[in-house]
Amino acid sequence: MQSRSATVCWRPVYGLDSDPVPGSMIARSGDGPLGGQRFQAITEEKITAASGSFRSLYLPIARSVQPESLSIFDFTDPNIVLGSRDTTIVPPQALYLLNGAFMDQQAKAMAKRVMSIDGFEDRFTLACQLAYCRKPYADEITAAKKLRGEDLAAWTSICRALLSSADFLFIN
Amino acid sequence: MHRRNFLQATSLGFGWLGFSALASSEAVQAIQSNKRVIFLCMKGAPSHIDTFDYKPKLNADSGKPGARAGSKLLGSRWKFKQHGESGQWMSELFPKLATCADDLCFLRGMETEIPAHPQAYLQMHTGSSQFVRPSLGAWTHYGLGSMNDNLPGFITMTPASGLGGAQNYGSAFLPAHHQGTRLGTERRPIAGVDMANLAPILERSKQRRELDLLQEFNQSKLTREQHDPQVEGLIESFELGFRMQNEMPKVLDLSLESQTTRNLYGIGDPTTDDFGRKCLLARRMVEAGVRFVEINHGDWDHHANIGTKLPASCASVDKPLRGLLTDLKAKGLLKDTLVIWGGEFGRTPHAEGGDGRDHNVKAFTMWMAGGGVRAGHSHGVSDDYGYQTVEGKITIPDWHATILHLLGMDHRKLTYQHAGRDFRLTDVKGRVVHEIIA
Repeated sequence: MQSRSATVCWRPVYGLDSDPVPGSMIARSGDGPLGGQRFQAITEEKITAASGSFRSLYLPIARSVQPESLSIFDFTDPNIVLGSRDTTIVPPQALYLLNGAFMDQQAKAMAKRVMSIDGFEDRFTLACQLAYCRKPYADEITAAKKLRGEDLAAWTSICRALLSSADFLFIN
Repeated sequence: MHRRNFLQATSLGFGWLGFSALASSEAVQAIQSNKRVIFLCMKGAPSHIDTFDYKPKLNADSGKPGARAGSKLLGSRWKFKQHGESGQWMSELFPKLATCADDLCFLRGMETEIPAHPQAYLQMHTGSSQFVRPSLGAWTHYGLGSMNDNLPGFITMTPASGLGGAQNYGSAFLPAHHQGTRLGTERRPIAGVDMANLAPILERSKQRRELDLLQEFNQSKLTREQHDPQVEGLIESFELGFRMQNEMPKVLDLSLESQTTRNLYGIGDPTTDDFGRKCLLARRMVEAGVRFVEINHGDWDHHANIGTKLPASCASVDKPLRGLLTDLKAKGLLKDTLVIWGGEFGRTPHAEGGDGRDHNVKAFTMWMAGGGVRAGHSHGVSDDYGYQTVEGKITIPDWHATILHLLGMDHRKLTYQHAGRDFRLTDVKGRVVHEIIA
């Protein structure tokens, strides 16, 4: 069983954790300001559901309850001091990205932004620029074209796929 | 493209396969005994002296000087009796579990190295307190694979958020999909907890097309950058998440169980509701094909007020434990399910403060039940006060080796190559304790 981890990279890719993920998404989608007023929440349900259009810096943290958008991406336990946070890669995160309301909202907003220009390839190039800060590769354009439809639903799917993919979630 | 073909055809197929599927897997024996594990982890370390390790001499010598300078011995105020045909000694704090005495195998010579919670807890879960290593659940999943591809193979309920956190159910250098999936948060009730976002927001075929696109982006990245186990883990977790949408909600739905069953586990009674739910969920999970289920429960760290706190902790788990064992038996699952109960160490025979016990690493008690375990048996003896093991010592590597053996695996052969050498759960240690194998 050959060890394949001994390749020639000086630093492995690492995942974004709970602070940059929602914040980056909001920045990409352009859905509202990154900051805002102090969030007022007094019930557990309100805290768990909190995300709004705020950067995670402004979200409420109670001792034993956090907003879902943070806790699902390994936000640390507020009760303890922690040297470095856990990083997990698990199905609940995938489900949050596939089915979550916050994700859906961000993907829709990003799709609308992208649909403000014309032409499939130009739109997809803008989407990639927003998500990956680079132009798309040829195989990515081909793959995206397979998703039939030119309407908001189709572009929401494309944007959600971009925001859920490794190139967005991992830093090189 | 069918998702299995997609995964197997690409270079990342290596990470997707369980160890047992590889041709040269000598570690998995021809006949597997247990197929699944329920690990009941009593975080904080229950006092063995007051529950399962009867020390009459300690009671007689209560008040005399203890092993630590300046301390006094504290006898157990709870009465012990023999139970079942096998005559197992158990205290009055577990009256209901005592009716299952003939199913249990007590390990009274347990020993660990470091008397501090984070280190001991990590060592119990991963084999090491110093280095980041894969968890017991991850090794099990790596060795045996999944029984149901539509569910996570390793689930942990209300895991400790401190004491190493996710490392206790992590996969470290093993492929990422062997890590445990968390359900619920420590110190919060499990009732009403769901795995969020299981309900699909798109019609299934539309969602599948979107997921195919997402996986093509991921595969494109993987091809460009060649091997990356984290990206492979991401790919696999999306596929599993997609499959879970159908099956997971049913597994988590306790209303599908009869009132009789819920009563059996103590659900509905405030004292036992929480742990009762976790136990019933565990039974449903293993029944549906989850390989390894861990429940982290309690705080058993009774440095003070042991007189009130220990009975409360015991009462919260006693009935559900009996319920779980009874139910597993009734469903024919106990014969190939390994049930493990215990904490990261024990508690001292000498008092701490007025009415508490400190940490004890040289002797403590765990119990096991299930396939291949010698039922109605006890292995290991601690000294007259329950401070140190005198016979039948079981270290944590021994315990790990034995668990793997009970799952049909040789702990010396279940290895993974990383950073240039082979690693295993037991490192260079561990002896299978054949004395507790039926």
